[in-house]
Amino acid sequence: MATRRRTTCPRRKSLPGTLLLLTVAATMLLAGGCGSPSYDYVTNKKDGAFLRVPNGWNHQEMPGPALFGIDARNVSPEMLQGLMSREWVVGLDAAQRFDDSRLLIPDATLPKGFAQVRHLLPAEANAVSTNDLRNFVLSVDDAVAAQEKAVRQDPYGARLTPDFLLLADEVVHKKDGVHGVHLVYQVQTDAGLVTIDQTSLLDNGQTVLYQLILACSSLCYAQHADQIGDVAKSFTIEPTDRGQ
Amino acid sequence: MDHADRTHADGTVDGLDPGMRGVDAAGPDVPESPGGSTASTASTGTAQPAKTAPGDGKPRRRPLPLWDRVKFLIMLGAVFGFVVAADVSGDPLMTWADAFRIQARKSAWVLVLVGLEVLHQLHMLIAERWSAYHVFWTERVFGRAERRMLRLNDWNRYRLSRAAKWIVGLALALFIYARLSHTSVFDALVQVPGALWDAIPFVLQIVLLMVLVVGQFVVMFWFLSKGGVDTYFPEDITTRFADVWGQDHVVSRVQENVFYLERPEEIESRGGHVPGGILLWGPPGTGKTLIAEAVAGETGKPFVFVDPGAFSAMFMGVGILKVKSLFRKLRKLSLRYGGVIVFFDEADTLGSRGALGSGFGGMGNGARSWFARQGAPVAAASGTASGLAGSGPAGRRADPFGARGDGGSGDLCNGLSYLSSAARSEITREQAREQFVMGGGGGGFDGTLQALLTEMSGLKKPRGFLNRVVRRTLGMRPKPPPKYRILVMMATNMPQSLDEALLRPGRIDRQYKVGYPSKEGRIRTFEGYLARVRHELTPEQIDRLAIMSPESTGATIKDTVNEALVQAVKDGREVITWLDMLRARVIKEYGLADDHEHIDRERHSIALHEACHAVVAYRMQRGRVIDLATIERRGGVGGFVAHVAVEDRMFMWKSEIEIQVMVSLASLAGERMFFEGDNTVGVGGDLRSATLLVANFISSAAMGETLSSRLSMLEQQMGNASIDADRPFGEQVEVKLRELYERTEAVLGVNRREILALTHALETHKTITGEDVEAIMEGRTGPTVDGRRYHEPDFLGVAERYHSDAVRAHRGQVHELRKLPELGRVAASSPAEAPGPSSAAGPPSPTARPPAADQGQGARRQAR
Repeated sequence: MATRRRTTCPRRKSLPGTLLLLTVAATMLLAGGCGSPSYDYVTNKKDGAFLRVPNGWNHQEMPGPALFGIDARNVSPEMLQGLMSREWVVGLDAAQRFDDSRLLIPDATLPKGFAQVRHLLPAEANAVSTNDLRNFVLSVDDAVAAQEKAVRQDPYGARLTPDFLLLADEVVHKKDGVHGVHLVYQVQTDAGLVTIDQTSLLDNGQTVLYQLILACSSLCYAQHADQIGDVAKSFTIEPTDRGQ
Repeated sequence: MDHADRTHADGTVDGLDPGMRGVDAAGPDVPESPGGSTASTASTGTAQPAKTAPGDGKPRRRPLPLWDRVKFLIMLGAVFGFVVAADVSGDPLMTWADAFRIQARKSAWVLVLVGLEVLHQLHMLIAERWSAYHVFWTERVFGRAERRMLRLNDWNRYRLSRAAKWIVGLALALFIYARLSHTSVFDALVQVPGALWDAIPFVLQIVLLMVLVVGQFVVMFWFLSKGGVDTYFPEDITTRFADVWGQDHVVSRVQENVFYLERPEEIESRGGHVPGGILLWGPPGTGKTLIAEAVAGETGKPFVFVDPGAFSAMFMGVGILKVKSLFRKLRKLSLRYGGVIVFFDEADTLGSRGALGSGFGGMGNGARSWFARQGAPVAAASGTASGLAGSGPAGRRADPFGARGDGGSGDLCNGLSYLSSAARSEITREQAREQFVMGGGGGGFDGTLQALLTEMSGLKKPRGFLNRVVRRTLGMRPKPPPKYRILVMMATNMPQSLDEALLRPGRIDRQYKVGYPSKEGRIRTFEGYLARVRHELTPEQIDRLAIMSPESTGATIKDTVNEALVQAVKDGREVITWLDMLRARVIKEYGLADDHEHIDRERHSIALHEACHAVVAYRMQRGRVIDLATIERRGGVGGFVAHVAVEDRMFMWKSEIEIQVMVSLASLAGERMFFEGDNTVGVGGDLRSATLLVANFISSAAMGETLSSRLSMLEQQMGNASIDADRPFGEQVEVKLRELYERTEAVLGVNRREILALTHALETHKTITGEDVEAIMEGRTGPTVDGRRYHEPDFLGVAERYHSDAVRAHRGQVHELRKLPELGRVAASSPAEAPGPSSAAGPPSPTARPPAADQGQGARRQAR
């Protein structure tokens, strides 16, 4: 019987594989180093709030509560502490430098605003309604009524220079029972005409308020309407257990 | 350079590329020149390109397997993929492309590492294929750096390495801190002092917590390390040197040490030093502690008494703390009073570090070997433990209860009492070899002994934080420690248990044997204790008591006097008489006899057995006399013949050893002679003693035909090279024993009358004194027995008839042994003086020493 000799097969040189891998790695490096993302992402995974802003916009998480819809005079230090733990606010600013002194500037030449998530106090949660969402920045219904009254008194003047003009008013229904309103309106202020894009949403249990407010001068809005619209459209809510 | 040993791509199975072998052989500092490589390539032909030729001799890096090449890339890629995936997951707006780009910025360090690894692998790849490149890097770049580094001395290299590690560590910590605080590294660096300041309360909390946790242990061990040490001052102790009787030589030596402690300048001014330690060793009860008490009472220095159990602690380390605490106290007392004495009673509790277990009888092992060199009764002390009736302190008390009361085969019939101390030492040494395998006393293994050794003569280091640290910080030399004058005294009756290191000069400089008191001391001790009771002993009788008790100690004398008082009170008297003292002495020396009556046949055989020992001893022994012969049962011992040495000699002669063996063999020879070749198993102990003696002295002292020291050969593990290939050792022993047996038979044969006379006397009186034995042998009047009667012509006939009856009874021909014949005149002494059967002990020979007991026949009885 022939003796089978075990021989050691010489291994093939690993050059092609090595070069392939090195190439992949180099490509990865180049791709990573050269490209920049299309958008900036504002993310709150804990509360399930997501937003996409154009690349170049500044966004910064704010240290304190925005206190919208709350009478600041009635806020005690303990309540402020509680609110801070219940509220997440990110300021948005299309300007090159983020101005954190005010989140809404009527005569801003570039879009500015904020997104917030606020866990409502039990009393607030019991009282809040979809209609109330309209009036969180200003009382839209009152403003509409006042504008109609002004048109009745001065049909031409009031129509030519309206103090308030509701450009969009739609009810929003998203998945998982998230619902609310999306409003775009123009308001006459001392600094001029301001256009505000307001999205106010509540979760299914109406315990968490999600808001995206963007504002700038009406001229600015006319120039950046698409960007602002994209941002508002990207406002996505995926409620988490934390909100229940 | 990777030297992993594995099969590589070109088929070679060793760990190196063929080219690399050349480099390694030449050493890293001697690279092959490029010119040489070229020439080599040219000479090997051009069939293969140089870069792939495995045997072209050019140094190249060994090719890495693919996995080794890519594993770090894969790992880093996986890390990057993970962070990208983490961005995408859970964010419905995020795209993979954007996540990739975002993480390329946020986790750029991963990509940097990937880039470095790619460069590294490219470098390796080139080095594997391009020899000149490889040589350039290994020799020019790394080799040069290495050589430059090697120019630094080791200490500088270590410091550089240490500094580099610190810098890297701090940088890493800073980087982590920057990431945690969401700032840049530079901002974090600026923030560090403030952050540290803010963290102080937290750090203090942690420190406080640790202090509390550690403090619990500190307090617990502090409490545990207290106790067991008492300090006395001269006025506390009333004992004086004058109270120590009979130890004048030791006392004078100890006084000398105390003198130097109190006046150190007397010796230090002459360039000497004060002795630092004294060991008092000797048998129990000889006054070691009393001497220490006297030192405490006489000296002007504080006296610290260390309790024997002070260093026995439940927890490891407490003993060390106690030692340290003790010596701290001693140093303080020494500075305050100019000296201090510390006394460790029962110092054997300090133990040893195992020397005892390994070296009994060997060379250079532990204190035992030291004491062996000094002639200490090592074997005697071991005899105590072994339960043998050895010499010295052990042999003095023939403990009839401790020997073989377990119904053995009669090993200790007659014990060893008729042997001289040297002979007994030989035998007990054999015992000790077997029994002292383990031991060494307590302690010593938990560091206590080591701590004591260090404290006694450790490094003379500067003490105190201020002295050591502050002075050194200021550039001043620390002050050397002051001279602490501490005199360490130790007392033990087991010096062999002490560690050898404890006894070296500088620690325990002086070892004094506190032996048995001198005769004057014993007289004084007897007088001292008798002075406390009413007695009618004359000075001559006290003198005789002292002579009779050469190995008595203060404790035993006190006990004997007390026992005499008990005897007197028992008889309704208040005054101790000479008879009370004799009774007390017998009770204390040999124990109380059992209330047991031997049956007639047995009584006769036991008496004959002991009589044979006594006759051979009387006829043959020199320098030793019989103290007592008895057939009264004490515990497991049926009878014995006790001897005392007239003189204390150091060496024995071969002829004397032979006589010892003959005394041992006398029982066997006598029994066979008188009982028609029959013998009891009670001779077993005698034969054992005889055999051991002969074997030991043949093997060590040329007692037989050979001169070689077989004992030494065995000790040196040369047993296989023994001399008994053609003359078996056992055969030699047997020949010698048989020769001595025949001589013993001859002695017994010509002393038949004396044997029967002694047998009769023992059967009649149960116990007779040595002087009675002498009187019977010589036909004189003894203290209790009239020996003249035994030399009258009709005695032999009477005795032989009685013995014949006994033999017939032994054969079973008759059941009742006839009555022991009365000889008419029983005793010369008056009935009032004659001690009773249970306490018969007349005054022995004036030259007598207390005997070592001969425990006889007891085991024989048990064997029956």
